[in-house]
Amino acid sequence: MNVEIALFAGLVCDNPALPSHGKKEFYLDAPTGSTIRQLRDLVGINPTMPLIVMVNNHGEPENFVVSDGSRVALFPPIGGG
Amino acid sequence: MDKIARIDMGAAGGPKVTIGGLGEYAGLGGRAMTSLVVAAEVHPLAHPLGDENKLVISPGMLSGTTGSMTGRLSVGCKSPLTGTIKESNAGGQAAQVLARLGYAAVILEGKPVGDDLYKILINKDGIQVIVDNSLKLMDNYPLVAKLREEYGDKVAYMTIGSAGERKLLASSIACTDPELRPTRHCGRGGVGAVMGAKRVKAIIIDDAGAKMRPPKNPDAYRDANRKFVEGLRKHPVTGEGLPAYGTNVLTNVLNEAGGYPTNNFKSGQFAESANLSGETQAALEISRGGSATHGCHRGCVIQCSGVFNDKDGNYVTKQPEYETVWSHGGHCGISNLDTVARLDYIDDNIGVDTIEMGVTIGVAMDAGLAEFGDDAAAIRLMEEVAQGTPLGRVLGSGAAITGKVFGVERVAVVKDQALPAYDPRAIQGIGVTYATSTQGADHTIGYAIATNILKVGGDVDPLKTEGQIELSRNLQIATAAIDSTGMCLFIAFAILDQPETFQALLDMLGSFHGITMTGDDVVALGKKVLSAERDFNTRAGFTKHHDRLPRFFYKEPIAPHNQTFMMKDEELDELFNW
Repeated sequence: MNVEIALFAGLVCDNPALPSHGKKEFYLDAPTGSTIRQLRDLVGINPTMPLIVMVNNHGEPENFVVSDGSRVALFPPIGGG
Repeated sequence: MDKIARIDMGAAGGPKVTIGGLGEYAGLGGRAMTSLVVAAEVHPLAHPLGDENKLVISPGMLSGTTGSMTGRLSVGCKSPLTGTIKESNAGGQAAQVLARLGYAAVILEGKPVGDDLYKILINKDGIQVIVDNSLKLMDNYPLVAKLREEYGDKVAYMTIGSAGERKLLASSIACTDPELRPTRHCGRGGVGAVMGAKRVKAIIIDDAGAKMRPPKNPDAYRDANRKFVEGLRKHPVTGEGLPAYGTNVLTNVLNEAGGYPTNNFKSGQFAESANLSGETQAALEISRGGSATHGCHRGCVIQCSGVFNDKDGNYVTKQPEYETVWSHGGHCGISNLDTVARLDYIDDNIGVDTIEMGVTIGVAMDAGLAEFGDDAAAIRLMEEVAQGTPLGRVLGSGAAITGKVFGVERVAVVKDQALPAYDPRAIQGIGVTYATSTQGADHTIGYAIATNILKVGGDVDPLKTEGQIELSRNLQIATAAIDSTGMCLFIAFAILDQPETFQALLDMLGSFHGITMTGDDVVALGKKVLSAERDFNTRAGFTKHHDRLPRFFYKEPIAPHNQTFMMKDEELDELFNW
C-alpha cells in the first residue's frame, strides 16, 4: 500500500535503504496492514521515542492499522500554548 | 514578601502611598493574591475604569528566590473587556525584582482628577509617585528607552503604551525582559486600560541593595530545585521541543488535528500553515542571526522564546508565540512570518493583547474592511489602532465590540474575550475551558490541548464529549494553583507526566515556607482561587448562561471533522461542582 508520511519537529526518515532517506514529507510503499509501530520502525525513527500520531487528522495509538492512501503525521513529544 | 503597598492615586493632594502588613492575605502570591484581593475589595458592579476598581500587582509565592521558573507576575482587577474578575500574568523581570524588595502586592487604588500622568519608582527606600507628563502617548519601546536614560539598565520596567493610555479594551501591561525589551505582556482582559485609567504610565522597579528571598529550609530548597530542574530538562517538551522551536511548534500539530481556526473560524486547517510553523520560524530566526532559544526572565531553564530579526539581521521583535502567529497568521489567512513579526512588534509597542488584536483583525476582514490574506491591510488596520483613529479605537476595543459595530455574526468570544488558537469543535475539551473560564475565553486557564492533542497527562479523545468536563475541571484547579506560585505554566508538561517532578515542586513550596506541602494542598489552593473568582463573577451578574460558546460553534460544523461543539449545557454547568 502507499501512504503519505509527514514528519515534524526534527524527525526525518532515517532509513538509508529508503529513497525517502533524510526527507520529512514523502510517500511510502509499505506492506498492507502495517501498523503505526511498523511504519515508524520502517522509517527509522528512534524506537524508544514516544510519538504523537495523527492518521487522517485523527489521533491514533501505535497499534492502529493504517489503510492504503492514508496520511500519517508523526510528532515527537511537543507542547506550547 | 512581608508587605503590601497601596497607592491611592485619587487621594486629596495627590497620590498617597501606604505600606502595611499582609493581614488576611499572608502566604498568598500571584493569582491567589490578585483574585482574593479583587474579590474582597472591589465592588462587583464597579466600573472597571472607575475609582472603585483596583489594579493588584503580585509576584508569585516563589518569585524572588533562587528557584527556577519563578518569574511570573500576576496583575488582577475587574476587567474592562469582560466585566469579570481578571488575572493576567506575564514573564519578564518584574516579578523577581518586586519580590526581592519584599512586596507581596502593590495595589493601585482610586483615580486621580485631571490629566497628569504618573510614573512610580519602587526601590529599597520606598515608593515615589512622580508626575511626568513628558511620557504622554509614548509607546512601549521608545518609552522604555527614555526611562532607561534616567533609571538605567539594572531595573525592571512595567509600562503601558498609547493603547493603555487611551483605555482601549485590548490594552496590555508590558514587562521588560532581561535585555530590557518591553516584550512580556500581561495581555488579556484590558488590564492596560485599568492602569491607564489610574493615569500610571510606568512602574520602575529597582532592587539595588535587595537580596534573594531566603528559604526557611535552604538545603531542602536547593535540593528540591535541583530535582525540579532535572525534571524539566529530561522531559522532552520542556527539555527539547520548547527550547528548539518555541510554542509555535504547535502550528503543525493543530493543523494536522483539524483544530487550527482559519479565516475567522471557517475551517480547521490552513493550506499554508507550513509557512508559519515553529520549525520554519526557528530556521528563519537562526539564519538571520536571531535566536530560537531565549528565556523571558533570568532563571528560566525552558527558554521557549527567541529573537526575530529582519532579512538584514536587524531586531524586529521577540519570537512571536504560537497564539500570535495564529491570530495574525492563519486566522487572517496570512502566511508570511515577516508580516506576523511586524504585527507582533506593533502589538508590543502600542501595548495590546496579540490574541485579541489578531482575532479582531480577522473579524474586521469578515466585515469586509479587508480581504483575508491581505498582509498590507492587516498592518494598516493595526496602524489605525496605533494612531488612535476612531476606527482604531473600535478595533482596539476587541473582537466583540468590532463584531457589533460592523454587524458580524461569527465572532469567537466568550464573555467578550477572544478565543485563542484552538477550535472547540475539533477539540471539545478546550471548548469546555473557554466556556466556563472565570475570565472569558482563555486557553491557559485549563489547557485541555495537553491531553486532547499532545497526550500529556493522559489521553482524552478531542472529538468526543466523554471525559472533557473532568479534564477541564482538574486542569483549571491545578492552573489556578500554579498561577499563584510564580511558576511558568509550561512546567505543567513535566509535572503532569513525571510524579517526581511534581513532588519536587511541592518540596520547593514546602521547604521555602517551612511547611509540608501535599498534592491536596495544591488542589485546595486552586479551588480557593476559583471559588473566589466565581463568587465575584456571580455578584457581578454572571450566570450559567454566560458559560457558553457563541451559537455558531453549535450550528456550523467545521472541516475536516465536520463536527460542532457538542457539550451539553447541563454538562458545562457541572464544571464547578466539586
